[in-house]
Amino acid sequence: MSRAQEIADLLSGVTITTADNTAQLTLTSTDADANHGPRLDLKRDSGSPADNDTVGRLRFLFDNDAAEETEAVRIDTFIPDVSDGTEDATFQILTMVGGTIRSRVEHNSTETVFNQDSIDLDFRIESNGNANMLVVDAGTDKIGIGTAAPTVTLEVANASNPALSGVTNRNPIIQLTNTDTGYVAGNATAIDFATSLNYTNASIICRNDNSGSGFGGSLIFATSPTSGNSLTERMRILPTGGLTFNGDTAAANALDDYEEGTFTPSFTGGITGSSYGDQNGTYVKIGQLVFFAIELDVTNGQASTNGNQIIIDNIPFASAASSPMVHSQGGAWVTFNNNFYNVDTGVYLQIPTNTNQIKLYRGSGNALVGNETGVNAQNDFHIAGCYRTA
Amino acid sequence: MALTEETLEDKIEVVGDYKAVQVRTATVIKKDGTEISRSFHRHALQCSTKASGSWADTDISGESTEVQAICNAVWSDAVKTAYQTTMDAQEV
Repeated sequence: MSRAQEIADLLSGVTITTADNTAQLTLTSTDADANHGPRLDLKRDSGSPADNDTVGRLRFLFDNDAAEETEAVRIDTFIPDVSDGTEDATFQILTMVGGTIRSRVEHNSTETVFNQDSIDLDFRIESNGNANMLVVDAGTDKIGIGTAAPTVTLEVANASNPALSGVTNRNPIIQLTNTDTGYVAGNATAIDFATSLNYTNASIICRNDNSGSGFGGSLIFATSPTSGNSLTERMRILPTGGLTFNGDTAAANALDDYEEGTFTPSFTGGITGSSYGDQNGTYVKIGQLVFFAIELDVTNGQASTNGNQIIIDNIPFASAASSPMVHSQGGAWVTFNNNFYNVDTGVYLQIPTNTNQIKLYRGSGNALVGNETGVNAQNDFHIAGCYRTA
Repeated sequence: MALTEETLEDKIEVVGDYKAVQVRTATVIKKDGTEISRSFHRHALQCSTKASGSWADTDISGESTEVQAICNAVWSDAVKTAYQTTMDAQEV
C-alpha cells in the first residue's frame, strides 16, 4: 500500500481491530505538569454553525443474537444555542431498554432530567444506611422516601424513635425547623394549604412560646375567610395543653379535658341499704362541666330510713370550690320517680361546693329526710344533673 | 386470638380546697396483646364522712395501697377540720 493510500484510508475513517482483550486505542500523556492530559477532543468545526447541531456521539455497540449490530449505550451532545456569548449545550446518556434506545439522563441549559422518555423506569438513591432513601416509582407515579413501594403520592417512612409517653414507635418523619431567629417567642413554622392562586386558604402553625430555651410550643390552626386573603386564628393547642378558640389564648378559657365513664352512686344519708336493685351512674366531663345520670333503688326490704337529710354520694368529680359560688356548684333534676317521694311539693337536688354529694330538699326548702312522710326509700329514683368541678 | 381484661387505676388526682382524691379505674380489653377497648369508672374520696350527724375519717381500707398513701399524705387534721366546718355551714 502506498503512503498516499494509507493517508487516504486514514482520512476516510480508521478501524482498529484486535482479537484479544488488549486496548484497541490508548492515549498516553507523559506530560509532568498538573494540567489535563491525556486529552481527547471531539470537534464540530462547521463552517455554518446552527442551533441544535450535534457536537459528538459516543456509542457502545454489540451484536445481538441475530447477529445485528446493536447500540447498547449512547452518549450524545448537542448545542441548542450557538449564539456567541449565550451558547448552550446538552449532554445525554441513553441506554437500550427493551429493544429501544432510551434517554436515561439529560443535562441541558435549564434542567437535569431523568427518564425524559417517560417510560416505566424507577429512580432510586441509596444512602449509607437505606437502600431506598429516595425512590421515584415511575410505574405508579409515586415518590417514596425510605420506602421502595410508596402507596401515596409522597410517602415518607422511618424506623421507630424514642417514644412519647403513652405512644409507641413515635416517628418524627418530617420536621419543620425555622432557623431564622432562634429562640424567639412568636417565631413559628407552618404548613400552608393553598390553591393554584397561591393564596393561603388555611395553615397549621407551630409557635415557639419560650424565648429562653426554645422548648415549649403551641399549635395554631388558622383559616382565611372567603372575603379576603388573611389568615385568622380559629383554634390553638396551648403549650400546657388545652384548646382555645378564636384567638383567646387564656389558659382559664381553654377546653382542657374530655372524659366519659361510669361511677357508683349510693345513699349516704337519710337512707341506708345493704344492696341495690339499680346502682348506676354515667358521666360525661367536658372541661370543668360534668353531666351525669343516676339510677338508684334500694332492693326492696333492704332499705331503712332515718331522720337525716337524704344525700346521694360518690358523684365522679369533686365540685368546684366556694368562689364565687358560695353554696352550690350545680344541681340535678328527677327524670323518673317511681313513688320514691310522693309529695306534690317535689324534691330539689343541690350539689354544694367542694363535695361529691347531692343533697335532697323539699319544695319548702327544708332538707328532705329519710323518714319523712312521702319517702319510700326502696323505690326507683332516677336523676340527671350538671355541675362545675374543681 | 386471646382476649384479656385488666383493670388499673390510671389516674389519681388530688383536687380542691379539701384535697378530694379522685380515682379513675380503667378497664382495658386487649386482643392478642393489642388494646382494643378502654373504659373508665370513677370514684372520689373526701377526707371526712358524716354519718348520723357525726363526722368521722373516711374509710379508705378498701382502697389500693397507693390511694391510701396519697389520702394519708394530704388529709391533715387541718384539712379535715376545714372540710367539716365548710360542710356543716352549708347544711340547711
